[in-house]
Amino acid sequence: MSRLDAEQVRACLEGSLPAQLATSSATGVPDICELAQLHFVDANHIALPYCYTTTLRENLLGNPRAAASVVHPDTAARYRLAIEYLRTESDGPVYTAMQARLNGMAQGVPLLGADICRVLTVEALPGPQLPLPPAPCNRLAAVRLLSQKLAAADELSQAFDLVLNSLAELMGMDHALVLCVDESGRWLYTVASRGYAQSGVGSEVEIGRGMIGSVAQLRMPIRISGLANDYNLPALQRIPPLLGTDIPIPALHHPHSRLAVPIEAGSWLAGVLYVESAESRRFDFEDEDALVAIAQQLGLAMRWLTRPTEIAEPLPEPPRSAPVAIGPTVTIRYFAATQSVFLDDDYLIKGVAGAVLWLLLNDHQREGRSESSNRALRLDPRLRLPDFDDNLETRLLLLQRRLAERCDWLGLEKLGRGRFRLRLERPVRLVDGEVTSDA
Amino acid sequence: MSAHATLTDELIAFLQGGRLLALASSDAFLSPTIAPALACLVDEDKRTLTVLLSRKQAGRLLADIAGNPHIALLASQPGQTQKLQLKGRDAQEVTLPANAQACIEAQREAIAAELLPLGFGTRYSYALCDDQQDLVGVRFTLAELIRPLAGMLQRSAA
Repeated sequence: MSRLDAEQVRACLEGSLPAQLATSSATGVPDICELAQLHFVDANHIALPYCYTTTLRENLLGNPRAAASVVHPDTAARYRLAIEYLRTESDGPVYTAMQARLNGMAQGVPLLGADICRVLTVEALPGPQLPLPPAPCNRLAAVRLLSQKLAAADELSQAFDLVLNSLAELMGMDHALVLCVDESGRWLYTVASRGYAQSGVGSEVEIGRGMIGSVAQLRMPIRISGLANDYNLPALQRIPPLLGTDIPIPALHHPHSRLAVPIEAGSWLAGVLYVESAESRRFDFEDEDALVAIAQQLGLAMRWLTRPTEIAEPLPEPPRSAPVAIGPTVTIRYFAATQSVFLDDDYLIKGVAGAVLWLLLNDHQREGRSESSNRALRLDPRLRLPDFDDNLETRLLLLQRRLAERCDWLGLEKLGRGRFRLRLERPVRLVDGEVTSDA
Repeated sequence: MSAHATLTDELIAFLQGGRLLALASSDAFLSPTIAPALACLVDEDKRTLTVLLSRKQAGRLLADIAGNPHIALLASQPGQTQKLQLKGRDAQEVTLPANAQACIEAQREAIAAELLPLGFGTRYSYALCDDQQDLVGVRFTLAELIRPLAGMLQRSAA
């Protein structure tokens, strides 16, 4: 039988049931404590979280030998690890990964360091074991299939939907969100979701706050399952600057497993991919590896699909012969300070997407023009967008989806890559909410 | 402060209420070891404890205490932050008390009740608490009680 190492008991280090750690003082007095996580580093190393000065730490500094007891979350098999403290790291990937996990589990608990330990032996303790349940799916095959589909996507909305649908169909991850980083770099906004009664498109989470915000800040995956449930997703929402402008972020009532990974392309942080489940211990480290690979692919796809393209300006449309809008008039209010748009009294959207909609509505009313392009928006001085804006495409998608959810008489229709048309089927009254005069 | 550390009824109830238990020792070379414990009995004096373990899982610990009788017991509540560490200086292997088997069975049911809401089925809890027909007892006198439960009275070290 081959010698056991840390990699072979990685599932036991996840904290589904906490590990117990024994140390000894220089005078031979044992001490024992419980740790919520033993961080897997490699087959021969693990890391212990250093959060407080405790007997554990005093002992380790005086006598580096320690022993850990862990249990497999599925089979109940017990293992004993003999370890030796080597050093403390207060930055670097191991430290950051542990900090990310701690942020998701217990906000406010500082991680002072990652105590790196060599694994001397791993011993399987005799005792009964349950059979290992079969994996929910072949994750490598799922990533392969999803990658093939994603490579063929030619629109951003298609890429998002494809990832969310594939996560559900191939990996059984039925509740998922895609959030993108906004123009300020301080907030994430939901641009696509699957598995919730309300899509939550447009809802926001502050970067650095809570599990999803920490993933964006630290650019590290966070996976929480089972015991650690400090984190309350709805409580992390942005405080609305205007009454009635908050969109609830979709969330399961009692999620027992959560996994969030950054969506990146090189040094560019595009957003966060988040999945959750009501099932305890639903996501393991192999799910995390798979989701990281998928998020990287999505990041590259987003980079490619949001690249600026040189598309000729749309030809001027002939003047409208007659208004096609029918039905009661809707008052559309715009608040420039927050770029917020309200349909009658109902909040619709804010930020760049709100400003774009207001501009399109004004152009439509004044000039009868309903078609436009991404390029035209970038060049329009009224919007004051940068020459290249990573977020315009995602903001337009957000606007399109919010309109599709909120009303059937106003919409944004794609006319191909980089072009779109405003569809307006009701008479509207445009009101600048801050100057209180009709536009 | 009293001269001897003793357990309150509340702490005894905590110890025996389906907690995860583990015992630690240290050998002559200051190398610690750890063994899962199955249950804990408390004598009427409220300061003598007998911890039940599987001999197959605790061989090294039993050898350690023969040379160095210092011992530490951890009891923690699954899914909660509450935990309790008890230390002794006179640990020794003892014959099993008459009620050992009944104590194991009570602990098995208690831990199953604790773990079920956390997504661990009864079969899992039973496997964790399986006595493997090789029970052994380790007895020690409470010398130090560390990290008591919030709101509970801490008795001092002897």
